[in-house]
Amino acid sequence: MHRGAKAWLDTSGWRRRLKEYALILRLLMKSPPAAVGLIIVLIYLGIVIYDQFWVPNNDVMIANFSATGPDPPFWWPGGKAAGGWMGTTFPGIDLADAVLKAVRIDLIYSTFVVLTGALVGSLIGVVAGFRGGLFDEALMRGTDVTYSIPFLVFAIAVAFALQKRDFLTINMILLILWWPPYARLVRAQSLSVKELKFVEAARAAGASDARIMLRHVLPNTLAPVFVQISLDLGVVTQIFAALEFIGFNAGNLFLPELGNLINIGWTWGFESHPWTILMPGIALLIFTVSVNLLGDGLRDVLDPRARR
Amino acid sequence: MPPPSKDRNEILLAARGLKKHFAVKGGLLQRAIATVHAVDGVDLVIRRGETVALVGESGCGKTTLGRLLLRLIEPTEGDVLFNVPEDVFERMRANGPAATQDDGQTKELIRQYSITRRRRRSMKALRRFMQPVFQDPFTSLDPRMLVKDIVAEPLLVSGLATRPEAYEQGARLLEEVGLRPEHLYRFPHEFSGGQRQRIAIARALAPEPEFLLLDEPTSALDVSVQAQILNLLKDIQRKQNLTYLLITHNLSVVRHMADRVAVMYLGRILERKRTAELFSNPLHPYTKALLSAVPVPDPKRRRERIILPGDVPSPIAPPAGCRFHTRCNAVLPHCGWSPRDIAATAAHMFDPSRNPDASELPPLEEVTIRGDEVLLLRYREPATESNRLGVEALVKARAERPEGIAFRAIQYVRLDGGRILLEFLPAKEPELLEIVPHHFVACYLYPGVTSATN
Amino acid sequence: MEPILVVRGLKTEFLTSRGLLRAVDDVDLQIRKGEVLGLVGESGSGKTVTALSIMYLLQQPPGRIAGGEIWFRGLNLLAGSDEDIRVVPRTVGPPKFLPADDLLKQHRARMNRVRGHGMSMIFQEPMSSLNPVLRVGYQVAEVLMFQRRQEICDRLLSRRDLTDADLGLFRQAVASGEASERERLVAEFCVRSGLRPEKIHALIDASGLPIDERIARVRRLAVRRRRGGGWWLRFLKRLDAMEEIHFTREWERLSRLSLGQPAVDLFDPKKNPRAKGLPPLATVSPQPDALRLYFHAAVGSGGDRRKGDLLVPSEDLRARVEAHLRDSASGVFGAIFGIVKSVGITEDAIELRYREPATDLFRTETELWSRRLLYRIATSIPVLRSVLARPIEEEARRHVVELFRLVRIPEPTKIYDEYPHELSGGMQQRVMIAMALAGEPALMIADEPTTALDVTTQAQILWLLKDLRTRIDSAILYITHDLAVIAELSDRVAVMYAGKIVEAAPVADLFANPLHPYTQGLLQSIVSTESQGLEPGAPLPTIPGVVPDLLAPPSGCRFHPRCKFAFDRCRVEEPKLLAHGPNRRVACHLYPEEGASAAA
Repeated sequence: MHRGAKAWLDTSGWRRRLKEYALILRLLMKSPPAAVGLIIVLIYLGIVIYDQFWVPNNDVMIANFSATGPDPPFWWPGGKAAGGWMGTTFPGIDLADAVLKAVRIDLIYSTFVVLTGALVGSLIGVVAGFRGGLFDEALMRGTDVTYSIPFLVFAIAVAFALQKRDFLTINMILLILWWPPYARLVRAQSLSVKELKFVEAARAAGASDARIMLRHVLPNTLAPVFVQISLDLGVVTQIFAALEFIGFNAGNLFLPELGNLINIGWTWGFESHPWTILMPGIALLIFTVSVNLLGDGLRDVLDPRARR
Repeated sequence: MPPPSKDRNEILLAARGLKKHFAVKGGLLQRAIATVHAVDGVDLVIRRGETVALVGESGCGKTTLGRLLLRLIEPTEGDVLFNVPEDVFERMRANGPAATQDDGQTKELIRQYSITRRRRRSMKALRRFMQPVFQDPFTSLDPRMLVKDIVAEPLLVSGLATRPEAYEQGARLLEEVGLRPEHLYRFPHEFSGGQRQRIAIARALAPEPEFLLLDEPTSALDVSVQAQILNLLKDIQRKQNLTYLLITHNLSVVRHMADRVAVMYLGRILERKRTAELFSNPLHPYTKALLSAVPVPDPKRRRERIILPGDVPSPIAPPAGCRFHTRCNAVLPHCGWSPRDIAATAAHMFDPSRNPDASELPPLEEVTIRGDEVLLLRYREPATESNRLGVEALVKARAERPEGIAFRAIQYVRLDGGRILLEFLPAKEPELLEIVPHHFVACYLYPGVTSATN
Repeated sequence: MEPILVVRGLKTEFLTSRGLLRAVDDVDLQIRKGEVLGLVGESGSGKTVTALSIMYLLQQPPGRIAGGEIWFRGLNLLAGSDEDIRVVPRTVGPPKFLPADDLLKQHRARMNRVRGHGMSMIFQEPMSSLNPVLRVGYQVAEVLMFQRRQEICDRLLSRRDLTDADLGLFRQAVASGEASERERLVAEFCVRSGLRPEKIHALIDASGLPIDERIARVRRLAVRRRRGGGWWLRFLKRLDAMEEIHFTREWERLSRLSLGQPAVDLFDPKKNPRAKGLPPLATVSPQPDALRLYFHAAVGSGGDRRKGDLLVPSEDLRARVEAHLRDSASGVFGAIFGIVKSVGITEDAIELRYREPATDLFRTETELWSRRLLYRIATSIPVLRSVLARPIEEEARRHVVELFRLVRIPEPTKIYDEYPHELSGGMQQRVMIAMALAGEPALMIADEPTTALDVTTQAQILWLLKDLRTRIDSAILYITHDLAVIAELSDRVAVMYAGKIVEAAPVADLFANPLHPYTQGLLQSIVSTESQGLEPGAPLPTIPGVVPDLLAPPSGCRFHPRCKFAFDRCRVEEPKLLAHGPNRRVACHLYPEEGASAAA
């Protein structure tokens, strides 16, 4: 029986899951702030992909040293066509081009940090929550310690200690600090999920602890993790920008990065050349606000009570 | 190790002196401060093809016992035996409970059949033969999995089938439990309680088990759905020759499902017999109370109700003697009254400032409990013989009254160095004995029941 | 016995992501004083939603009461909750438009008062209904302090001898039994502001002014003095409470004016077959003191009539209307038209004249307000607060212990200080019942109170409820899915299926002779300790199929896909809930209407 329906059988499960995701998307689009957040985040992602595949020299800003100073955008009072859409900053860097490239770099690195942190943290958290015991205790005390360290100060201190102030080092430092919140989050969730009866049913079926953790406990703890990821994307991008701003770019002065751009603009002064700071600043602001909107929307949608 | 699937022995599952104690942790260092006696020495035999019901209030340890039988938790003491031939089991029983320690041969036998002494790895091969169905269908199905994955999981983890085979089997199982194959591609939250319970049953049936643990399978369901699920379970049992252990607090379900019943209270079995006899002739007062608690769907019949007073006592310190004696309506003086049952009353009763009848006694200083049998009264001045007589008279007067049953258990009133000693009858737990053939009761109301040896 | 709760045509909907779900569809219920009505149905039949609608505890927005009336002690609780009531007819001049917000606020305030004092609810999960971080006794005491403050304050004040000058003033104000609200208010003014009473009097008692004007003056005064301190703001709130009373009076007037629809339903022969003896109803005109019924003159035997041709009422017609009203007194309409004092004639209409508007309810509302005021005074004056707060709680504690004794909680003083998690399920449920009883409600709604409990504990709780019935006089609406429990406890039963009442009958009749096939199925599928004449091993009788999806309910009778007697008519036409013999009603095509109305 139903042997003939096997082809249907294999794809139908996926179709059904996709339908569930489509429902989440529909619910998300119902709330205007979340929808706006989602759309803006998608636009930024589009920029990243475009930069990655179709823009040459996407990791360096094109400078024109013959330029005398920053030009305002063409729509700025007193602007010239040479300024382009967002104006230029010294030395003759087209801000429109630089901001687009900066978005790619910032997003890729912050996504890398957040996703790696979430992955490592979730795995450690689920093991800690499920197994308990000494490992759990050690982990929790460990995260307590990391909570007491301010990110920026720690990053600066380590970078100075290593005598390396390039972008990769910052990445590595942030990675060390970024998983513990996820571990806590998942641990707290899995403590309650593991008491549910389906975990016991799986054990009675002979499932191994690893399978129970990965197949049953972990998926049921992920909703707040997704929310946290989307909120953290904004935070990490800001931290990158902040570190770049205070000069953690020893490796590459022409690295297209929002904080770096703001730094360059800042040396020219806000009063005389406001667009050099405003343009990268607004790009950063819009992204941070939109991931926050998206995160808040996700929090509501992923809450099962919202799905009536 | 006997391969359990090949020779199908008479006794499918048996508990032998099974105990489970949980430590209650507390304090700053999370040290064990007390012990919960969840299951406290249970012997139970489940034969192939029969349905045994385990009845009791919540907190009596019946769910813990079920989990022990499936080895979802490890016992503190005792064994769960699986697939034992009748003669071997008889031999184990004949050699007595002490045999585990000295008789090498019995010990070897028990080791052979016990699933609680197996390694975890070899236990995994046995899991498929014993499957649970839980009470609450809303938490027993993983909300993030499709029904097809839920039903196929036991097959996949035990390596009984490949993925496509497992899904096909899943479709077949769903039809068997009264659902349609297209339900495979839905999530659990799309189903009603009754349908979810059907899915849970399908999952339990997937690895072709021999034994199902039904832990309150219908108590979370509507009355009308309950009958459907019970019919389904009976039907499946008949078709596949399954063995059931039905855990429930509702005796009406038992009547339709079970062949034999064991009544459990505070970690011990109080009565064990065939279902029909239990309903026609319940012997233990607790069983009688449980029976009368079931509402009768007939407004004209006003039945004599036995309302049990209070709640199940805490399993941290179960009452001495017969564990049920604190709530029993047919209680006897020797059922296990102990000083702690009357300590509060005594502080009031033997104090001249609070009880005018005790006016000739000196002021009461302190009431202390010593051991399980002695209550000490210390007065401000050393007690005299006349004080002793006064206390004795008070005890006698109180014992005459119907609520003074605990005072009838006071054997002696003695003088001991200026203090007055109230000595109680020794509290012993009644043994589970065969009063009528195949009918085991642990209650002092029935002649021949003596105290248990432990 | 007079009905204290009458539900007519209640419709409750939920807006879900898949569409509009009508969970309760046209439900009629009626509970008399001191009666236990069992409401039975499977999960998803809408019985809990009915209860929540009555208590007005529905989650709104997703939920919404789409129609119907809930008459509680002669007042329609739903009026004011929706927008229809915006238009208020007036005796003279054009109808007045009240802003919906005001009315909604009004309605909320009224429902807050009705809940607890008028009706209370016991939920299925006692553990989740109790606050885990508060002692159970205190939680009951809180209810008491909220519902019966006056009693507690009075007791205290009569016991205490206060010496401080301010307290003396306060005492003088509250202890004088005949002091009016205004005088008490003045007294408080004095206490709080240190002003001479005469001056305050002069300020607010501009005699001859209507109360609205007086309130406005005080408000102005208060606004001017607002900078003086936070208590002025609190005082303004108290004034709001005073205005609430004003609104309450307005509300009663409103409620009387909203009697038009029920009157049409009762007296129009087209709508009510039992009004056949009356001429066709032309229109009704609700007035604050009476309801006028205008009839058409029936022409010829065929009942032809020209529009606008009104019948000049005769004494005979008056008598017939009065008789009809009397006949209906036992039913739904009896409760609604209970305020009719007499039936009279005007030149073109029959007039149902109402009783005097100053009803008991109004008085209790006023009293309630003054209680609240007193309690606020007592707890907002710093000196008094320190003096009185502890004793008030102690007094409440004494009350709570009495309540605990009433619900047979052993060692009530000990239980008072325990936290919910320290109690067993049965004990928690007793605490919930004590809490429900704290306001001395006229109606208790028990929503599956024993479903989460053991059979033995269920027996205890059922026995307690039965026992309580003999000692208190509240009616109980008992909701359950288990007919066996109903048999133990209730007087009458209403069976619900897919949002509709399918059968209603006295409990003995229902069990002896269930009419609706669904009721029959429910009764048979009860698993009982009795053998029910079944062969051992024979399957239990069940109702095949599942409860229908209310987003797409079946056509015609909603039970027909599961019904073994279903015939063609069941698939097309929805059966009405019709009388079948005395005291019984059933919605099923198996029981023809003719026979039904003849029997009625």
